[in-house]
Amino acid sequence: MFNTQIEYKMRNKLYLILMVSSTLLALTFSLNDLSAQKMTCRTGHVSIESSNAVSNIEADNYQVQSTLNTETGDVSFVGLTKSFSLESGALDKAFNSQYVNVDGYSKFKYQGKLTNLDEIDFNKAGEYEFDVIGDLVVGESKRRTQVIGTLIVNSDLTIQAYSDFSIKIEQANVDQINTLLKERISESINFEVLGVSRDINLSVLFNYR
Amino acid sequence: MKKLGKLSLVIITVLTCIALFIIFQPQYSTQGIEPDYTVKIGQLHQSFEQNESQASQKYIGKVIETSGFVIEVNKDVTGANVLLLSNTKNGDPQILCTLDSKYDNSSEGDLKIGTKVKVKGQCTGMLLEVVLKNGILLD
Repeated sequence: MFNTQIEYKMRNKLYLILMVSSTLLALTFSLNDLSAQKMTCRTGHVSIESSNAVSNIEADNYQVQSTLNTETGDVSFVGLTKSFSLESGALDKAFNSQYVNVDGYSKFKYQGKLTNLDEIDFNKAGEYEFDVIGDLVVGESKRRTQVIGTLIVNSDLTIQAYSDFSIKIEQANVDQINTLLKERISESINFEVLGVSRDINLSVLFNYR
Repeated sequence: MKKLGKLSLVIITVLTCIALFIIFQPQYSTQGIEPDYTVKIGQLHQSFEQNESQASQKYIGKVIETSGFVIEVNKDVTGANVLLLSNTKNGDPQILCTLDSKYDNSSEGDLKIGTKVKVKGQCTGMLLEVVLKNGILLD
């Protein structure tokens, strides 16, 4: 029994405050968990290297956007074809000219999943190896890829992920790309310098937060 | 015979100069290029949101001049400043503009959150925001 009416009211208030505080605390933790699950990067780097009989062609894109879900292991990135800059100044100017239109090929996308998620502790700083399987989509063509890379969990729990890998593209696709280049690039540019080969080296780097 | 030797030397020199010009030509830059379009930031973003295919045909590859409030400043892996801009001080980002390091003389004050800036850059399409590369801060 309560001694006085005042004591009863105060106890009720205390219960109310406790209930509200614990609800807010629980909500805060659950929101933190949610935000920690999906990490994003707006300034990812994708580098492509291909060679032909005459020279190497290197292109870099520093505007690739990516998400990593640390709970499910889903990883995706999307970039714009025109965001690439070519190492060679002459080719870069040609690529950025009005002659190159990228209709139908304006974006490339990747959607994959980490297969060794249980080996990575996203709450503990350290270096981990990751294995990811997914689909790389350029225009209408989709390619299944399996890639191994390195993932660094920093002390502030931001993440850096990078990987270097090679893909061998089918001769039919090489012919298709080279025909496209020939069609869309000014005739004044020496086509032999631009043609790609079947071997393409890719490297990707993302800083997630 | 002597004339032929001199002619060969001239041809080789000219060809070498052309080759060196091609090899050492600087990369594309929007510096000194007149913008193809001067548009309001909200209008540019809305064009892509309403009809991406049509906006892509109009803007991709073109040099755009626009201005907006700095929402966030990041750096890419090369150390270049990457600005997220919006039409209001607290709005969602509508433009992502990577500044060309060669011409980026911006001080910290210029890139303060909430500051209004005018930029020029080459439009490459739309991801979460409309993307501009080779960006230059204008006065």
